[in-house]
Amino acid sequence: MGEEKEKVITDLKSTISELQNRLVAHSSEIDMLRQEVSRLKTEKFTLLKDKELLTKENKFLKDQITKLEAEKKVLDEQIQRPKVSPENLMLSFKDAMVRMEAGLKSEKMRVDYTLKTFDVELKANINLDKENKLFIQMPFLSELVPPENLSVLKFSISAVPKSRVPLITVPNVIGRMKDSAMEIIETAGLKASVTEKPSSSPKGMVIGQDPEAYSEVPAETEIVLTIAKPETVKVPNIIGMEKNIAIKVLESSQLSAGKTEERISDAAPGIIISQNPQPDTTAEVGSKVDIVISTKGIEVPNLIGKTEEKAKELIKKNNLLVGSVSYSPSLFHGRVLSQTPSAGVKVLPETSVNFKVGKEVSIEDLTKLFASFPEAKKFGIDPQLIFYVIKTFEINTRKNLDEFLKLSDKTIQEKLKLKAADMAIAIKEILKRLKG
Amino acid sequence: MTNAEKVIEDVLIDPLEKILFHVGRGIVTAQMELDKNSLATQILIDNDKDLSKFGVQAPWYHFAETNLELKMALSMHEIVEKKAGKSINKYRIYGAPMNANYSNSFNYDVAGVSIIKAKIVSIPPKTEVKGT
Repeated sequence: MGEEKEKVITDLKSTISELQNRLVAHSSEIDMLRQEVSRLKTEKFTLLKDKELLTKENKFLKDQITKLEAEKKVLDEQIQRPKVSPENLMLSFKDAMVRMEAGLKSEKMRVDYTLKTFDVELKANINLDKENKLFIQMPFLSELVPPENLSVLKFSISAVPKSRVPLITVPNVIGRMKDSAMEIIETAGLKASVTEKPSSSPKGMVIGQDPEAYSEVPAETEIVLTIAKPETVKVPNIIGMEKNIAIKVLESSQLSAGKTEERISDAAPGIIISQNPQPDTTAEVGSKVDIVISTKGIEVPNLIGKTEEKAKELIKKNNLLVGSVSYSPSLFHGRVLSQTPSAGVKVLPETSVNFKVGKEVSIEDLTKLFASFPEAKKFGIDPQLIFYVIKTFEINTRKNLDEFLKLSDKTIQEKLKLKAADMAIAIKEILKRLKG
Repeated sequence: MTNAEKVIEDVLIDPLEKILFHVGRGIVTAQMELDKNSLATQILIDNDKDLSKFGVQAPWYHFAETNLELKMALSMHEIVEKKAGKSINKYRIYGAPMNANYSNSFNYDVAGVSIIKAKIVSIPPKTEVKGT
C-alpha cells in the first residue's frame, strides 16, 4: 500500500516537474510574443504616419496635375492662336479703315466726312519667334484669359490730306470717228469707254461724250463716248411677191433690193422664192436685200452628131450662148462629138453651152495613137492601112462605124486580105479609139 | 467649344472692316436724315408766304466732329482666299461687340477687350469742279 502511495507521489512529482518545465517554456514563449506585439505596434504606428504623409503628398501632386493641365490648355490654345506679324496686323487695320471710309462715302451727300484719327488699344500677346521676330497673337473669342496676361498695344493712325491732283481738260471729240477719238482721249491721259446708240449719223461717229468737252477732270478719268450705230429695221417678208412689188415693199421699210439671181424652180416664173437677210430679222437702215427669182429654165438641145454651124444655130435659137468650142481628131469630122451641159438638162437663159467638134484624123494623130497601142506594131498595121479601111468602108458616121464593128473578123480579113484574123481585132480597136 | 461659345462665334462676330463700314455708314445715314429734316423745314417755309417774305431760312446741320469709342473683343481668324486659282491664307480681324448682357452670360472679363477710338470730321466741299 505504502509502495503504491509512494509510486503515485513519485508520478505526481514527475508530472509536476514536467508541467513546471512546460510552464517555464510557455512563459518564455509569451515573453517573446509580447516583445513581438510591442515591435509590431511600433511598426504599425510608423506605417500609419507614412500613410498620412503619402496621402498628403498624393493630394498635393493631384493638385499640381490639375494646375499643370490648366496651364497646358492655356498654352495649347496659345500655340493654336494665329500668329500675325505687326505688318500684317497693320494691314488688317488699314483694310478696316478703308472700309470705314467707304462707309462714310457710301452716299453722295451734301457734307463729306473723313476719318481723322483712328486709335487702337489692342489686347494681345506679344512674342518672339525662333528668328527673334516679333509676332502678335490675339486670344480666341471664347478663350478665357486673365486680362493681366495680355499686353496692351496702343497705336494711333491719322489721315494725311492727299496732295492736290493735277486736272486735265477733256478734249472735244464729238464728230470724230471712234478710233481717232479714243486715241485723242488716251493721249490726253484719260481713259475711253464706248457705248453705242442708234443714230442717223455715220456708223462709228462720236455723237456724245461724258464728261463733256472742256471739263476739268483728274488723270485716268473714264470718258464715255457715245458712238453712232445704224438704226435698224425689221426685214419684211417679200417671198412670193413679184420683183417690182417687192422693191416697193423694201423701199417702204427703208431698205433696197440688192443682187438679183434667177433660179430654176417649180414656182411661177418671176416670183421671189428666197431673200437674204431672212424675213423678220433686223437689218441696218438703207442696207440691201438680195433676192432670188423663180424661172422655168431652158432645155439644152441635143447637139451631138450635128455640124458645128447647125449646133451654133440651135444654141442661139434656144436663147443660150455658144461657149467654148474645142476640136478633137475623130472619124466623124465636122460633127459635134460631146457637149456640156448635156442635152435635156434645164438651164437658165443665156447659159453658155460648150461642145467638142471632130476634126479629120491626120498621120500625126495616128502615130500618136499607135505609140500607146503596141499591138499595131506587132501586127504590122500602119496609118496607111487605117486610112484605107476608113475609105473602103466609108466610116465617117456612127452608123457606118457600128456596121463595120458588127462585121466578123473573118469577113474583114477576107475583104482587106489580111494576113491574120487578129489583125481585124486590132483594127476594130483602133477605130473605136478614133471616135473622138 | 461649348454650344454657347459656338453661338457667339456664329452670331456675334463679324469682320472688323464690316463693322467699321456700317459705323461709317451710320454717320452718313444720320446726316442724310438731318438734311431731309432741313429740306422739309425749307419746303414748309417756302409754302408759307409770311415766313418766306421775311427771308426765314431752314437751318442746315452737320456733324462737325464725331468721336467713337468701340469696345470689342478682337480676334484673329485665318481665312483662305482664292485668287487666280491659288489659295492664299490671310488673317482677318474679327470683332464681337461687348455689352453687359454678353459679359454676364459668358463670364467675359471686360478688362480683356480692345478699344478702337476713331474721330470723324466733316470736310469742306472740294474746290475742284468736276465737269462744267
